[in-house]
Amino acid sequence: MQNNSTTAWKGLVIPTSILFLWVFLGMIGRLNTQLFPTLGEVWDAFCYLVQKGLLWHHVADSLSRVLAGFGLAILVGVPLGLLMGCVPQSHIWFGPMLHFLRQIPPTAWVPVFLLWFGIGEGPKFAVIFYASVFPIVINSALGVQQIPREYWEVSRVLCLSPWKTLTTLVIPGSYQAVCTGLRLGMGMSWRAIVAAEMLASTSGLGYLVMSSRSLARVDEMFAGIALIGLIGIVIDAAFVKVQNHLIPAWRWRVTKAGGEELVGAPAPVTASFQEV
Amino acid sequence: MSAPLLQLQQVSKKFNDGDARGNVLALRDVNLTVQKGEFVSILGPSGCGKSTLLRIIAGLTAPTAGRCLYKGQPVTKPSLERGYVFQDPRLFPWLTVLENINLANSSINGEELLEKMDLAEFGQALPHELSGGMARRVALARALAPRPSLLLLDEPLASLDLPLRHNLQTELQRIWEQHGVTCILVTHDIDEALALGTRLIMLSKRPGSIRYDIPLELSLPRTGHQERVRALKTQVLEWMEVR
Repeated sequence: MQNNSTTAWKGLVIPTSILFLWVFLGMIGRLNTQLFPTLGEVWDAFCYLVQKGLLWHHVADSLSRVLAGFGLAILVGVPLGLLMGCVPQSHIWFGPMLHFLRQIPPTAWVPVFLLWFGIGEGPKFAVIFYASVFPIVINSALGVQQIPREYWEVSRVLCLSPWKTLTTLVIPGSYQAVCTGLRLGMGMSWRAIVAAEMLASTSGLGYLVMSSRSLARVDEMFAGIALIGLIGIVIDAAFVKVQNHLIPAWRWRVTKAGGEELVGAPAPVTASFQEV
Repeated sequence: MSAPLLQLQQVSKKFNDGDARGNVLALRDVNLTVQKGEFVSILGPSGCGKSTLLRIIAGLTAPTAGRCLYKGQPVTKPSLERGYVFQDPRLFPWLTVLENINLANSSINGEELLEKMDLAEFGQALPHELSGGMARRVALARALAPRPSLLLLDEPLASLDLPLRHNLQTELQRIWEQHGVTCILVTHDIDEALALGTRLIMLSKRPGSIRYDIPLELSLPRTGHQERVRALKTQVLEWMEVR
């Protein structure tokens, strides 16, 4: 993303080639359309879903669930992470527990959450919360810990109150890392909600894909899957845009350059591959 | 007679590295009394514990043995009465120059201070827009803003080029004269120590202890005493060789 205009096209070469191959195979009749629809069929299915007004209903349901669960994860995760970052050695106490819980796929909890929270929206919020809260907590804590010791000394020498230290050092200093956590969390929750809707739901994109299986509508399945990916990309891109323009001064973070001199450096804007 | 501004009594500092080398003794039995209005230059080889001494005075770290008294009271934590200027400017990069200066206390007039330091038009600039020399002046202003009685300078001019150093040295002198603030300057630059101090203290190499403590009774600016300064410098260099 560094040279958006000059290199962005390179990333489109492979997807475009695949689309062409797909169209080509469809044209020469080499696709078993029972299992693999042609691109035209997928597009028709997509248009059909749009015309019937079903699609937006599913998309809106999925998105609103993500927003609710993700919002809750922010409210809990960011303060908890910042607090952990401020307490020395907190990772010794909390690290193993966090890493254990983090290994469990959110969908594995679906049966448990169904039991606990009933069959309404509760378990879906819980799944999204679970999926997104760990990257948020861990990255927030990391962000605070990455603030060089030298800056804490400034805060001590100037006798800043805990509140002032929080607002002038901890929050701006960890802003980039917190945003990375939020971005990862958002991606995780989007993936998790679709999975959760596949297991227990009557609406949402996950439900759309799953129900088209029982109707053997392989074209709708593909339309749903593609849309899930597209929406995920759009959300992520929007997130980066907001992150970089919300508070421009906070893009500067403290780094130790050359061992001695402390300078503010513009933080890297994207992390294209490291999130997987 | 009231207590002196600063008193160090038998101050020693031991660092625990936590590795096989065991403890490192950085300072040994340092005794020092600083009166109000002095400008003390502390000179010593690198790694002799100069910075550690300053950090103890600031209250950033506690001595392992001995006492550090400020106005007769033991130093236990940093105070706004003791300003600290670090080796690097350490400005918060997300705050404007003015916000950085007003960090400790927003009631003081940071703009006036900026004007005095020729930084008036940079109040709304972010630190990355400043040159190295300007950033240091801002760091100096930040330390002066709470009106400290004692200013601790930890090689604040290190890694600046020569003309800039001279500029800022003059600036420091002016601050010392005008603000009536007592200064303790740590440096490894002999010329700087001689140009600014009213008193010169030389530390031995690690573990640091005071080897020489001589008054520099020369009026400012020192340019009028070039002969005397040159003689002092030769003397100091000699002492450093002996060590």
